[in-house]
Amino acid sequence: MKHFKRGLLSLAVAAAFATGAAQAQVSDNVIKIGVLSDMSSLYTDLAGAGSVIAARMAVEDSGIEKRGYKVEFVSADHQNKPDIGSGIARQWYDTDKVDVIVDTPNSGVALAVNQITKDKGKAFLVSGAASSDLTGKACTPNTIHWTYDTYMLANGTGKALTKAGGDSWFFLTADYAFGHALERDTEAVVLKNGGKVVGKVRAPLNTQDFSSFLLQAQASKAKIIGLANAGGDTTNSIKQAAEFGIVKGGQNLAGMLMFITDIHSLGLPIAQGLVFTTTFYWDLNDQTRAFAKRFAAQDKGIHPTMVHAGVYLGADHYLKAVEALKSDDGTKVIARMKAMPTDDPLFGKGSVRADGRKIHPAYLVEVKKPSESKGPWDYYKVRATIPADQAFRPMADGGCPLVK
Amino acid sequence: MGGVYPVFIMKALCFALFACAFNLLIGFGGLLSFGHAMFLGTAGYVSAHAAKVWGLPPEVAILAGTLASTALGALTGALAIRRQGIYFAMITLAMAQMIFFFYLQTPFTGGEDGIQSVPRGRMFGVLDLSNVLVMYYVVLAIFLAGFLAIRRIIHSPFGQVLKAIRENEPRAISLGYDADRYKLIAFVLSAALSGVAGATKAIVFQLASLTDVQWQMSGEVVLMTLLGGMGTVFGPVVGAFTIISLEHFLADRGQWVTVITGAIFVVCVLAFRRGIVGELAAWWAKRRG
Amino acid sequence: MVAPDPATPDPAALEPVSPEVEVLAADPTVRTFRIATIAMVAALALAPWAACTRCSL
Repeated sequence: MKHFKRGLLSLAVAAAFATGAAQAQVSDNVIKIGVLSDMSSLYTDLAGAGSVIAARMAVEDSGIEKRGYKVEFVSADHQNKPDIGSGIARQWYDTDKVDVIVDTPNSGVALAVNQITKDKGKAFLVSGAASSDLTGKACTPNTIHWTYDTYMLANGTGKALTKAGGDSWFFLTADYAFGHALERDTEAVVLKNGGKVVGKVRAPLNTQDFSSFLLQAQASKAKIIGLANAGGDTTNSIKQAAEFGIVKGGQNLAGMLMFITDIHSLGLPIAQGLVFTTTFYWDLNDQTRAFAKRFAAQDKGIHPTMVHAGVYLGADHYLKAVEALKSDDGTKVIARMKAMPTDDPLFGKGSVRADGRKIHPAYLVEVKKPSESKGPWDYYKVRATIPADQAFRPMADGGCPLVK
Repeated sequence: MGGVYPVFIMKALCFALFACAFNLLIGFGGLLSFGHAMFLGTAGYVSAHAAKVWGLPPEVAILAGTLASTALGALTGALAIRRQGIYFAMITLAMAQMIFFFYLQTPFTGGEDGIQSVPRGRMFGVLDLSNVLVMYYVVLAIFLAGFLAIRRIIHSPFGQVLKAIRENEPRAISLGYDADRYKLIAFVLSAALSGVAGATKAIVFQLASLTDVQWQMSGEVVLMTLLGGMGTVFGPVVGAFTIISLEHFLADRGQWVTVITGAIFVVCVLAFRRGIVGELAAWWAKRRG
Repeated sequence: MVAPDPATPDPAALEPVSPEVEVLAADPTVRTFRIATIAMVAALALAPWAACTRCSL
């Protein structure tokens, strides 16, 4: 394998310095961060290379390298396949001396890495993956879930919209496990808040032609059409809904899993009026704007998504915990991260719960009309702010074995 | 740990066994199946479920997965061998697609998340498979058993008849052989051995996912077999190691893996049709003869 | 006169056995097979221990 002799050598070096330098307990003198993401397919803009940039920015901003620590990066493309992702994660931990894996969009891959990280006693900072199981029944002492999850999306969008008068819903659901789960969670929230569901239709995964489904949605006269789907299905259904004039006809589309990069590629004429929940928008305050400016300069003008912001936050907090502990032992660092309050320029002050869930406020946003936007990336109107303590699933409901 | 990374070889070994099983069908039976992923995937799902939910020990889980693939092989085979050539391939592909959508929808597979965190457990109650090296030698033993079984099948009278049917089916029938029965048995054997590979892979990676039942996987095994040398004993092993190494080296290139393997496929079909091992053997025979 | 079994094809329609036996010839003989198998097994059994400095598999 890679670095066989170098491995031995660095072990020897680490042993020799074991009682000396400040980074004494940091394995092989290097904090090695592995960015495991989708570098080539549907999540590449919203995570991908941008996540590497966000992690690097966190390292720069922390100034940890000036204090004698060495930080290295590796990144790889999991191609959205759990077996490829888990293979990379295993190899990183086993032979490449990676201490922490960050990002990892795609819940299937993230759940696989979650388990491997626990078995190897390392650390896993999830930003891109959506599954709320990561802090529910699959929670481990080695994983923290930073940015968002399916429960928060369903709850945020379902609750805030229903309360704001969108009390009749029609679901357009992708016909597989993820779509069913989103529909079920959102429906429960809508009903609980006094709304009603007037109809639902299931579209096969990767449908090209949504016209018959959209006509049903239009005919249902529901105020809100909930899109319980993801990726290409979401963008295709939004495009075709614009062709049918659904938003112009007074109905609102509610996306469940939307990112600012999706809006950018759809364009405002098509995406306008779309409502969804996000935990980060680059144009919230001076600090987020400054971050976005630096980020965009490095990432071909792409403005940071909430996934990128979550990667930054995770890396920032991780490095603080490593420095405080003078160790990069995965289990200990994660325990320390849960004990310390978070404080970073993007999400402000916050905390990580015992089940590994980072909580912060969420924002219900509506996509601006082209006439309201001042230019590229000026896309959102914040319609409601959901306080941190209400945005996420209560810890007792998740079924996480760590909090029993 | 020095040497070559064991998890990588285990993956290659599982695919090598899968390709050998596929080769049994196409190389010696002349039957091109375009749906072999369904056997790999079915065994993976069943053994992962057996190990995780039913808590069965790994050897029983692998056996359960193999039996499931065998049963599926008998069913698909009974339908598919009624037709030949492209129609045979299309029936197997159609069956594989149906199986794929079944696994996509059915709750026990966890949809696109797959079955995660499958426990490796203890083989026969004594071998602790959570130790990488123990796992490695178990996989090596399983691979060798499958590989030698295939070699034995090929050289048995059954294998000879199978080759006769491949060369000239009407003549074999006229000699009194029940060609359909031989083809069905070959199909079921191939499905069963693919199942062993899939079940072992699920235990190694502690994961069963949709990747293994997708049609791309059926194509990948065709590529491995053709590249290594169809109809040779070692060809599929060489092909599987080549393709898996390529994917491994090019992992950070993302989708380029697909482009490069596609290009290799074209070059292989155009320039050296016997595959790596087939060309080497032909070269050796020519030099000696 | 007994009618011919429909499963038996007309002998006139039969083609001669294909002379293409290259694929079969590619099969190693028993001895080479044994040598090759032992070499493969040895290589695989030692692979996790092989101290190769430059292989970056």
